[in-house]
Amino acid sequence: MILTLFVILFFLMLFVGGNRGLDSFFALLRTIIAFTINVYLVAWGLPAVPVTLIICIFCVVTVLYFQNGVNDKMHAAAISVGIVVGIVILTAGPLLWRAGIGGYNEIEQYEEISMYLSADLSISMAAVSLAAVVLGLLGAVMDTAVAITTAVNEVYVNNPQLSQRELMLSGLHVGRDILGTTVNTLFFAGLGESIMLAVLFMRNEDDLATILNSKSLFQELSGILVGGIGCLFIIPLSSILIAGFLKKSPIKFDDFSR
Amino acid sequence: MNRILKIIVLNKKRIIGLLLLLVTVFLFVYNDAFLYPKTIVRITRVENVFQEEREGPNGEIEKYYSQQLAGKVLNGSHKGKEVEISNTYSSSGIQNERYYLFDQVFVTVDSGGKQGSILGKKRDMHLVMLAVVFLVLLFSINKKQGGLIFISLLINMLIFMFVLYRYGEGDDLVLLAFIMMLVFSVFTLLFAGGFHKKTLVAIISTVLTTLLCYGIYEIVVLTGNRIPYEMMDYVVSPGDLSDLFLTGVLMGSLGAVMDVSISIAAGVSEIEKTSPDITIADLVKSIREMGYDIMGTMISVLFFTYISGGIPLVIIKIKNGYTLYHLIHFHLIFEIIRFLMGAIGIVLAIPVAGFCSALFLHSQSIRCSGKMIKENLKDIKRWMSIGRNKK
Repeated sequence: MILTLFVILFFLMLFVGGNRGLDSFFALLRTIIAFTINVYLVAWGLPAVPVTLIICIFCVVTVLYFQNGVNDKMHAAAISVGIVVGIVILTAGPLLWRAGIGGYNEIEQYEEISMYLSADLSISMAAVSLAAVVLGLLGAVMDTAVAITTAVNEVYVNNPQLSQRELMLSGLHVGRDILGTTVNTLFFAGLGESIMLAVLFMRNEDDLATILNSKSLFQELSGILVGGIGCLFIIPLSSILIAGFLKKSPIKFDDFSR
Repeated sequence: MNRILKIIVLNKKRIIGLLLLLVTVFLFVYNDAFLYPKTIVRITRVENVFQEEREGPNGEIEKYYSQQLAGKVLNGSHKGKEVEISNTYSSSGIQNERYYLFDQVFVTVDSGGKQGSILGKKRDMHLVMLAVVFLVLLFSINKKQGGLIFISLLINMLIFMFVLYRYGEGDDLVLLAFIMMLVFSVFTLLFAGGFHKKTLVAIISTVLTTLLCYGIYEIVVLTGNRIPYEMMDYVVSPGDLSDLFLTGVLMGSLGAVMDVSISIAAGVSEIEKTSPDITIADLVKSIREMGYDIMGTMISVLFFTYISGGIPLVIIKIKNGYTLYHLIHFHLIFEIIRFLMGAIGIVLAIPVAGFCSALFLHSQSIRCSGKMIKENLKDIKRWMSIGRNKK
């Protein structure tokens, strides 16, 4: 089943994207391998958040620099992704920690499988959950940052006399167009994921107070909300950074050849 | 740095207003205990005592602690009284919860009103804070666009709840899901693109792509191994798990498909605006170019979003000795299928949206198709007149 779908995806990417489709496919494979390594490193007992940060750096480097080249737009994108991930860990981290995001939720706790899985693993599940939230946010944040910095760079190449402020505003303008679609993608992905949970709440006839305070809802929603916050926050940030980068350093020739 | 300071000084009023809003919301949800019928306690004293060590399956040492908590009751008949609560937690926190100073918890108080036992943490505050920060950012980036997105999210939520309600009443889920997805795409794309031809194109291509995805999914499910639905998270009733899962899968890919469709339709309509005389070959070339840019990044967005949700449980299972093969085929399978179907949707949407927008937005092809329809009509008229003559 999984293999069939994977093969279908491979051929579709090949037919629709040609050579560059193949490139994207290998980039996906790299990401999958990095992801697996991350999970196993954490499972072996290394601290979850630092390991995830290192894997994040690896993903940023491969996705941004390998796929799009080493240039100012990618520097700006990489720095803004780094800042957003840092801010999320520092601000959302304590919040999620205090909300008790880790461990089994009310429903999983009474499922058959958690009865015979050992719970004495001495890995902090709160840290693991925070790491998962950070990883979940990474893809969407990188996507938004790259879209903005490349668009602003395009504007600059066509119109080099624009001031720093005008470049920043054009970044914000592009950001507005991306905003709706990214938020929608995250929203529907979350809705599709949480349909089982919603049906369960309905069958159990839980009241609103129980649902709002349940760990299961918090675990589902926090990922989407933090992802959305990251995507929104990176729009002005990457606009400012790319405007700064383009106006301070002389234009590189490889930008013109593209 | 000076620039940022300048921006802050210029928008002083707005920033102060936003901060005030945040503080008010925070104070309200921190003190909303009176809204709840269950007893809520704010913890005012915490004492942690080391209890014992237990050995895990791979020789890990899990430390267990007992907590002596005292707190003040915030609502109900015991309001203002102090209760004692005891709790245990361990270093991993998989099956238990650690409580901190000033946490608010739901408790049941015994008849004497002195001892309580914890039912669960009060998490509405944290959830509302995240939601408010999200909304404030959404509106501060652009008021109009942010408002539109907010309204469309709200409408979609309401539709989702209504459909769940109808499903609970016993209506057929798959039929409901298809109607829901049609309504979703119409509303969301109207809010994203406005009343414009490109919106119509995006809706048509979204519907077509979703149907194609559904076809692929059904074929693969019919020919492949049985999916172990009973291993899913939050299993409800064994009867319609496959339908529920299918709905979730299609809904997840719907968002991504809509995103690709509207991007391509908007791109093509922009190209048509700036250079109306573009040939079909050039148009196809630029659609492909747009497709490349979207494909890779969108697929990685879906990958990170879907698979990361499964990490905590997967780590627990690896520690308990599950192999990678077992994990992929029995535990992570649902996340992986969701991701793969979403990715297939994205890749399929590129040619479908390109074809639809070339057909409907490209002025030359409109002229062509108009001519074709006219000629077809002529033919039909001719056939009809032949039929009449024969009589």
